[in-house]
Amino acid sequence: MLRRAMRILGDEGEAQEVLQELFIGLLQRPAQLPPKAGTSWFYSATTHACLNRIRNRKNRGRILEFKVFPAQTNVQASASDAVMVRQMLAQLPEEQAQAAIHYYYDEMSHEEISEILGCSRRHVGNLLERVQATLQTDGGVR
Amino acid sequence: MTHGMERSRSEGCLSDLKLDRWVAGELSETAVAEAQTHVDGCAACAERKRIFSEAQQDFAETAPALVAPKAKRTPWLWAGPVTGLAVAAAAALWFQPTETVRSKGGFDLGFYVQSGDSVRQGETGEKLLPGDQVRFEYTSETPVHLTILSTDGAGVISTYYPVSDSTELAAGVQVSLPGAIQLDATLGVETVVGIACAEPVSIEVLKEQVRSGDRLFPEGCASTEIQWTKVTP
Ligand SMILES: [Zn+2]
Repeated sequence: MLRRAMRILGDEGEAQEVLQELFIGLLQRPAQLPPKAGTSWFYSATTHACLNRIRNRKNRGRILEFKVFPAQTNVQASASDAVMVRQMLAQLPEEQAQAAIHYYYDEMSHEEISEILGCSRRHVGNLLERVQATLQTDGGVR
Repeated sequence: MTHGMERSRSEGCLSDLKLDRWVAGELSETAVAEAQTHVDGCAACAERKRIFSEAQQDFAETAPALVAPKAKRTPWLWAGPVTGLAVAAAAALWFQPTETVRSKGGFDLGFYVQSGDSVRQGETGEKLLPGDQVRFEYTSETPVHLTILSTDGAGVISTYYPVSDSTELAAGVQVSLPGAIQLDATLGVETVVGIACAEPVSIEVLKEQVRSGDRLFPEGCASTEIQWTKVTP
């Protein structure tokens, strides 16, 4: 879980914080946890928590983002690309952002994504097409 | 394009999810056999399987014993003041069998408040201002038809969700609903009831139960309540 959160957030400290918050939240409100919470449930809870963190970062301003990311060297591609991708994630609608994370960061198949999101494979395909369209538009501006 | 968004693994390789499920014992026998066949012929995935198993084992051994304060650093554990608590929680939850304490049938409603430029997580009982925007999020372990009704300080009942026809919402944790409501100038206590039903239900029927105060919602519905008080700045 930590490994995933780090990949999504690009920052180990933040990944730890997000997971701790998630666990403590679950302790305080066990009603949130479905009776058969398995791996896929934790994947989706972590994804959601990371997305929230990325969005809050945006709310707090971009200074933090640039302070955090240049230090990262082992994150895919270049730091500025990673920052851009995360900024884009923050702007995507929830479902698209989740699908993008599962596809690009988790490298899941469409079938696995459809299981996690609880929707059809065709819907996953649509979501990813929309994400790609956004990527292309943003890439052009850059 | 170089967006840091290319996928690195080759097509036939096991996803992290599959590996996580494998080591958690969640895969069917057939799926395990299939995965094993791949691992036998793929050095990269064999190595990944080893790392995943180790991480899972460290977690399983260390967490239930609550010895986290001195825990060594592994992919599952981390240092920090609340580590023991968090790891214990994770362990308790992860290894918990099917019985979980659930107060509201696995359904919960939360909200965010945007007040001026700031966004914060809302808590029931808090004071809000006219003009504040409220966005709801739900948690449900099953797909639901969700209705959110409000009774404001003047006793007026309004429907906050759905905006038009009810559609089924997927199961999920803290899923934000689209759109926000902007609070009007009616001051006083506002009670918001979220009703999650397995089947579509007439909003009028639900409204009537809220209006009468009986709150006898149809079978298959779970409900939860949020309250806030609208005050002048
Ligand atoms: Zn492989």
